[in-house]
Amino acid sequence: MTSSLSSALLTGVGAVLPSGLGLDAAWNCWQSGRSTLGAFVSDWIDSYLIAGYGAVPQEARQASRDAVPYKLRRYGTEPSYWAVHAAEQAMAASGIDWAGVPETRRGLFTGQGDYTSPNIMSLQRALTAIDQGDEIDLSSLTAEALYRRGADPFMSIKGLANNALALISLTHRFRGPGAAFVQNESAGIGALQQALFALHAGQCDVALVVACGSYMEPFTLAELWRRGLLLEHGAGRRVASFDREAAGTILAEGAVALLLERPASAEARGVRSGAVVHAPGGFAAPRNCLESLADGGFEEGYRQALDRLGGIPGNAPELVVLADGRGVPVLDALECRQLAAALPDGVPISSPRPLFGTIPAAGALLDVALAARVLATGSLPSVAGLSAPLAPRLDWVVGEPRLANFEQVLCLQQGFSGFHSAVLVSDQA
Amino acid sequence: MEKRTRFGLAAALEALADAGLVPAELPLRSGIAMGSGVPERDPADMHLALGPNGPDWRLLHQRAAELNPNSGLLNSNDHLSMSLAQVLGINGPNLNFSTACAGATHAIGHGMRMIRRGECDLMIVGGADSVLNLPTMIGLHLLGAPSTAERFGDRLCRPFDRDRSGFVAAEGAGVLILEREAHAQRRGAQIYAEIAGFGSGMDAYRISAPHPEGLGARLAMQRALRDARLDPADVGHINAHGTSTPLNDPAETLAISTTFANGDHYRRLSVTANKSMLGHLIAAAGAPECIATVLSVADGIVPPTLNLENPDPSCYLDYVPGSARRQALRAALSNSFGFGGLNAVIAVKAYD
Repeated sequence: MTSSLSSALLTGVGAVLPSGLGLDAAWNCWQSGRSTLGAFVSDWIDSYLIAGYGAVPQEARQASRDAVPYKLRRYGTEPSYWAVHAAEQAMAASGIDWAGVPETRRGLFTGQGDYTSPNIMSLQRALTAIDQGDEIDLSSLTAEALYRRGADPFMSIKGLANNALALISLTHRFRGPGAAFVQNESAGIGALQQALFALHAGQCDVALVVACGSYMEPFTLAELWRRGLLLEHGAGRRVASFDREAAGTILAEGAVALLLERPASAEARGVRSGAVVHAPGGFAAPRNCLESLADGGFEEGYRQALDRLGGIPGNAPELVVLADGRGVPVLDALECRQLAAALPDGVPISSPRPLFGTIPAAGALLDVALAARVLATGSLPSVAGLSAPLAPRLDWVVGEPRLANFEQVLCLQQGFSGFHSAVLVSDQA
Repeated sequence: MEKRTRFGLAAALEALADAGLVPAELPLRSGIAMGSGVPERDPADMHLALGPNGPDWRLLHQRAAELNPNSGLLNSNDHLSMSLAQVLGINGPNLNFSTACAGATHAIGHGMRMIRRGECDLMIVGGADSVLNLPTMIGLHLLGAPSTAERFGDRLCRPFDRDRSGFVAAEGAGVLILEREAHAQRRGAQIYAEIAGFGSGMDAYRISAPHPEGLGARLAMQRALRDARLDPADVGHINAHGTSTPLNDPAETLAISTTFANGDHYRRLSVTANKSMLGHLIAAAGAPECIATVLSVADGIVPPTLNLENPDPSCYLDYVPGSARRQALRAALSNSFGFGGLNAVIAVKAYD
């Protein structure tokens, strides 16, 4: 499989996830089959209906907050703080002498989930102050918010979907080309795509791709729950991806950062090995998954995304696939059908989703980062807990990790609103 | 369907009709790139989740029947780009930029580059936005960004004027059809102009204020010129971001002056601010402004900056005050700068 489009070397990764700080923590969880998902706990949302949630641990939250300069904190949201920390990790991991990289040659490309802000907390004080029963008096609400400090004064800044980009560019001095995306779970892939093109066109010397998001927003949670997409209380806390017992997904949060360089630049400074990320495909389905779970939009979006990569070769023993597998029965069934149609026999398929849940924007970048680990270690961890596969003919990785000299990992993602993506990661050698 | 998406769909259908295209006959290699703003939440929905001690999830579920289960989907930033794909039957690349007031300009620039890279033959690009909802307007007013002056009535938006006091919010959409040249020629399309270059640049200065010397804006203009293979002296006109805010207008003036300093070319530029007529369409603003820039280049007419009655000494360019000007143009720039310090510029060339 080859792509005629651009590619770049992945030289640094950062992560702030329910598994904690850093990619090592996430990789260890996947290797050992340890779930990062826990009980649904919130200081301000009281729920007995949601089975679980993948929350960034408190110490990682604090470390992320500390990573943001004091004067900038009032403008940022928690996901943006995670993004700043993840960016810092990726920059450090790359080993680049940053003093030698002009600020104007640093490209920054971000993706965000758009469910983070403005949320009810922005107007909570004003709403509480004017609470008169069932109806809202909008004039009173406006007066309370504007003149009695009943609203967060920076709510519009926090509501921007380039909030993370702004915080990172200020904290880490990025003045090169930039762009920010909101397109459901594939926002990080949109950012990755533009970063690769910017590098390829010589618009920057390094490209930092960062995605972040959180589903801890009451209305989005309520809507997805009402649609029957979430694992409900009493159903355990297992995302049973591609399993006949699947009963819904668990939502999560986090940030992932990838530092990309042109292969020649990285080699010139002594980088001898690493993963190559190839220009991804991102396509829209003609119908989104939420509006019509049963139609063929999902399959069409997947097929288009794969076509963009040049298609699946007829014989690819070195290829493995990280599939999505949200644990939503209808979505998983559609995905299985597509995988069966697209993949030749014997391509190992796994997914980290049972352990990490559905992470807005950053989930697809996590897959890319984990794919690099699969290539580096020659170990493909399993689909945790998979015992009764929906499509037994497919080569699911179950039980022990699959060990081999893998050369390519294909990462596939779907989005609730219909954006699909496919990213190929290969071994530099 | 929420307001932004309705505006965007209407604009896209208009643009397709203007291009002589019908959705069913769009080329297979078509794509979409849109810009959008802040997701919207209805305060009435928020109120459903409000208990005596603040937000309460139990309450929200007790009243779940009153909650629109599509609300998050419909108000999501990416809803327009998804809806366009569905209505027009486009399975191709689909991007949704969310870069504050530079969103549509990013979409146009990246759409052009996707055609240039050979990924698509046709791109539907632009943006739609409306901030005329309570939470967003409250948020903007708390930042002090919109004008609250009353003495100028409907002449409130006064880019580059001494008495400017903030932007005037507006809503709407703009959509352009970009095509590979050979594709457009083959079908006999009316070609307005060439979208020739794109540049972006980050201030890395402050989140809510532009760099005082317009550093990111200058970088974006220089990159757009380089991308379009234009010499600064080729440019005769700039469609400015021109928000009518105290901070933007002098910073943009400085950025233009330094970008076009060679031979004092900045003194020969016609600079205009469409926001004096349209208001600020926020994430969508760059789309109608790019359309105006294209028409300026195509028709040789530079629209005026309205309400510029008392020039600010720190805004010393030729802003075409009062009435339109006939001017033959080889090339022009369209500027858009966003909160968070992300700047984007489109370079437009006359099509011979």
